[in-house]
Amino acid sequence: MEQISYTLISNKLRLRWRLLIAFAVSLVIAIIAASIGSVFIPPIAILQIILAKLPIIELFEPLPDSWSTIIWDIRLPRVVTSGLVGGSLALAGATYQGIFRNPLADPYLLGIAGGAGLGATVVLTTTIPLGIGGFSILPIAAFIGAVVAGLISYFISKRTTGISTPTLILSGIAIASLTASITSILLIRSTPDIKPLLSWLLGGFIGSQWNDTFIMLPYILIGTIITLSHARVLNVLQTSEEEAHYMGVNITRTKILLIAAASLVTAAAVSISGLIGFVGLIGPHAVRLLWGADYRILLPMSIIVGGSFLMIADLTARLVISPGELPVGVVTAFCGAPFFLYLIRRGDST
Amino acid sequence: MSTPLLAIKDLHFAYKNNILLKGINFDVNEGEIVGLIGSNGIGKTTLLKIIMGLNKPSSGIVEIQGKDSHHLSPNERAKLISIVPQNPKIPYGFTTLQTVLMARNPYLNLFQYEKLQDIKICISALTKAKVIEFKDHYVSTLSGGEAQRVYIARALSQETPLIMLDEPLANLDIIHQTEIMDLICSTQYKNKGSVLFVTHDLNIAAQYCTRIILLHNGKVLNSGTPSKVLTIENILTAYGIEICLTTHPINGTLVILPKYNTLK
Repeated sequence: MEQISYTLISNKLRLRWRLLIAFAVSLVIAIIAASIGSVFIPPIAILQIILAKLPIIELFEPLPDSWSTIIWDIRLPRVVTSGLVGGSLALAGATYQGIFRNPLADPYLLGIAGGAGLGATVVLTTTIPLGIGGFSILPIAAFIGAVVAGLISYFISKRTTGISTPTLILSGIAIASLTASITSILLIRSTPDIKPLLSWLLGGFIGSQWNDTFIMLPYILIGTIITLSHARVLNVLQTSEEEAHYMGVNITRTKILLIAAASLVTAAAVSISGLIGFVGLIGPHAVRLLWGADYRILLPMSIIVGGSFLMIADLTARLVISPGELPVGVVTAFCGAPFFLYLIRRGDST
Repeated sequence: MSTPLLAIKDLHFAYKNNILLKGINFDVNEGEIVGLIGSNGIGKTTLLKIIMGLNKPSSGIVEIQGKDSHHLSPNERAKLISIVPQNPKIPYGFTTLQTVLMARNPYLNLFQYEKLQDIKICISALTKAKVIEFKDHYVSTLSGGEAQRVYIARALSQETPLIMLDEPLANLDIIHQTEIMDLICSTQYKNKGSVLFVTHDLNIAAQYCTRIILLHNGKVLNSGTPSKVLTIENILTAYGIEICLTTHPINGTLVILPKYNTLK
């Protein structure tokens, strides 16, 4: 028993340390990503610029004003937003994988991101007001679109024995195509100048601002707290819905709550940055490979790994054809699609 | 008499115009080892699912410790009854200990980790089920018999007064069959708990059960001690096969032998 209590405590501590270290690494990635660009700005200077924004501290020698503008107004919002969106998409992916009990679930592949995009487009292209009293309605519309798409793909692919992988993927393709076509129709009919809307929909972080991030933060936080609180329950769900019921899980309530939470997080991410694929697949699977399938590490670690991955992907998108930019979705698909094929080939999904 | 652990009252169930259960009545009391027998497709598994609130009966009541089962939340029910299903699904990427720890779910809140007490309970169940050496192995790497014992350890870890098992011996060889039955019966006997198990093995039922419930044609054909229920006439009615009855040379319990039509 001595040994058991030791492993118990050390497991918990190890989890905390791992999360802490991983988070520190992701911060380093963020700072490096912010320092690289048309002008190289040393990481130390970035720290100084961040600290200088705190009211009390006036310790450092003044840096060029242009540096401060580049870092604080352009690069940091972009890096932080991409990290937040990456973390959200990976968390949503891990959660969908848990509810669907299928490792190939991903908000983009299931058509859920497409549903969110459609929901947002409806608000952007019709006379529905964008906000009510300073409260943005965009994420709500995206949320409704995401939930509807998620429920459709769930009920189409659900069988008594579980979720069938082929139908899950096929229904995802169908839903994604359908939402994309309706979105295109709405875009083309609505406004003569569809370029800004289209570039948002294609996904990316060009012109990200602090404001975008702050509007979405509450939604992401709510969704994150709900999913993280259900980590152990998600473990139990990995047996089967029948057995989870026998072990005291209220299946219907849990599924509705978790699909809603994951859709909320997806919707917030899509509202900020449009449709970016495969992050929800790569993040959680990288975590599974490194640290195992326990959702108590899988969920929080997916946030960190997914966030880091998208920060790196966005940096790559900025650098590859500099001074031009690749859409970040191109980079994520370039890494994600082969990975997806690998997962299908491995075939532990059925 | 005290309230029975489980009381089934006039239970009816129909599935797609097919009337399966036509008024089932029986109790399971504290300390009983009850065998539920009957031919294939008679509705034994369905009955267990109804008890667990997974299927809704057309009419009738299931009471667990005097409380109507359909007013219990899954969580409350999971503290009273645990079950080893017929074909448990192996959770991908989880070790034996992690799998068994899932049984502590009804006792934990959201966000809460298993406490030392929970781990102790699971370790002791794994030890009893003789699978402790696999505690850090993935369940998917275990043999059928080992995995079955893991699921039994999981049911034991749920610490419920009643354990239900759906054909627990289906994939087991003769030594593991007796080991498992000894394990379940002795553990529940020590804890003053009860066992309700579905089986096709009439000899195992005769050997271990304090009471046998024989289902036939949607009703309880007979219920009582093995020697009362396992008669030549009852078996002929329920299964349509003629049998010979004899006595176990050592234990003195009933032994059921079908009249084989061999060419020899």
